[in-house]
Amino acid sequence: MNRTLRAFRAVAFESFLEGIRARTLYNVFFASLFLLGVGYLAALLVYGHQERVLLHFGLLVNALSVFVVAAGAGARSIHAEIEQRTAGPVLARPVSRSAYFFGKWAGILAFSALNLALLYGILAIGVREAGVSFSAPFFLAFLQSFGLILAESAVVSALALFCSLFFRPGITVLIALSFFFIAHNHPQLALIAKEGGGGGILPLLMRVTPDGGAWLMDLRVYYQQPLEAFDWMLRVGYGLGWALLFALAGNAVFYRKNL
Amino acid sequence: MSHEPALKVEGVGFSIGKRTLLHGIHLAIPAGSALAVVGHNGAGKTTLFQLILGLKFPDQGRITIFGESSLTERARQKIGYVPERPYLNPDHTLGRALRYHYELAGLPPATRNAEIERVASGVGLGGHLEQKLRTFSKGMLQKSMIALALLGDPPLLILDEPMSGLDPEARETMKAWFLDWKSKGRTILFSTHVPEDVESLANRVLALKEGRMIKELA
Repeated sequence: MNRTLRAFRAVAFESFLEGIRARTLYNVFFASLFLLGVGYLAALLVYGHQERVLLHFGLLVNALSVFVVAAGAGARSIHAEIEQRTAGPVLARPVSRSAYFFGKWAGILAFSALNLALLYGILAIGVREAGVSFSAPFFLAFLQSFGLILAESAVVSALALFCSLFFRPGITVLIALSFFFIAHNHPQLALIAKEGGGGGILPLLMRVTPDGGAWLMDLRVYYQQPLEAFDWMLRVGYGLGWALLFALAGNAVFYRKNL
Repeated sequence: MSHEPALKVEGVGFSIGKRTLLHGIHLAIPAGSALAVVGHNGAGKTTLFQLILGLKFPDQGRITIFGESSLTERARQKIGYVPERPYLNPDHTLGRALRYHYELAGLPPATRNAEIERVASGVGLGGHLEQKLRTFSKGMLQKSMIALALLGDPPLLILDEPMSGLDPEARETMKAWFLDWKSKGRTILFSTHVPEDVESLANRVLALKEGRMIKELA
C-alpha cells in the first residue's frame, strides 16, 4: 500500500474512532433508540396497521438520526482539529491534504453506516415483533432504503465538512439540516413558487439542492416494492454525485487553507 | 554528498488581510548545524515555522528542504516537528499517538513496534505507552511530542520554543538531547526567548522583529 493510501486509512480510522468516542453522538444514538421505543408504543395504541406506523416512524427516526450524526461529525471533525491545533502536527507529516480531507470524510461515513446499521437492526426486530413478515421483497426494499439513507448522509456529511471550513459547528449543522429540509420539500417549494410566493429565491434554492424525494423509500418498504436494481443504483449515484461535488469543493478549499 | 542546505528560505513573505506578518525572510541552514530564531511574542517565529512546514502558504518567496519544495511530501518526510504546545488528542494513549503518526509518516510497517519502542524509550517514556495522554504532566507531553518528531529519524528537526514551561531538570535533559542530535549530524531549527539556550545550543541566530529580519549572527 502506498504512502497516500496508508495516510488516508490512518486518518479515516481515527475519524471513525472519534465518532464512536464523541459523547454527543452517543446521545443522538440513544435519543433515536428512545424515539424508536416511543414509535413502538404509539403503534400499539393504533387500531390496525401497527406495523405500518412503526415502520414509517422507525425509518424517519433512523434517517433523521443519521443525518444529525453526519452533520454533527462533519461540522466538528476538521474544524475542531484546526481550532485545537492538533491538525498542525498531523499535516506537518508527509500527508497530502486530500488524503486528510477524504480520510476524515470516509471515517464519518463509516461511523454513520455503523450507526445506521445498529438502528436498522433494532427497527428490524421491532417490526418483526409487530407482525411484519420478512419476505424477500420486503427485505430487499428494507436494505435498499438503508443504502439510500446512507447515500444521503454522504451528501449531508460532505456539505457539513465543506461548510466547517468557513463556519462554526453550530452554524454548519444549521446549514446542513436546512439543506436537508429544502431537499425534502422540493414539491412544496415548487408549488409555492408557482403561486408566486418566495420571490425568485425558491427556484434558486431548488437548483442548488438535490431532490431528496429520490432517496425516500418508506412506502415502498411497507408495500414490499423494491426498486429495480438499475433505478436504485441511479438514486445512490445521484446521492454520491452530490456528495462528491461538496467533497471536491471542500477539498479544493482545504488544499490551500492557511492553518 | 549533496551540498544543498538542509533548509533554505528565499524572500518569504506572508500576510493575513492587510496585515503583513513576515516581510521577505531569507535564511539558509547548512546540514548538521543549529539555527535559533529569537524575537518577542508576535515577531513571526511561529508563522515562519508554519510556512516551512506547509501549514501556511507564503504570499511570496520559496522554501526548500534539502533542495525540494517544502510543500512536497518528500520534503516533509525529512522533518520532525515539535510545536510550541503539545497539541495531542488527550484521549489517546502515547502508544496510539505514536502508531497514528507512524502511519502518517509512511514508515515501513515491519519496523513499527521497534521504532515506537525506540523513540519512546529515547525520551524516557518507554514504560508509559499504554497511558492516556490526559494523565501526562506538561514535561511528559513535551517529551511525547519529541518522541513523535523523532519517528523515522528525520534529518531536520523544527522545534518551536521546545523548552517553554519546563522545569530546570527537564530543560537540562532537553539540552543534552539537543547536543546529542547535533553530534549525530541532525539539522536543528528552534525558537527561544532564553539567551543562554542560544549560546549553548545554536551555531547561528536569526532575530525577528515585527516580521522582519533584524539580525543574523554566526
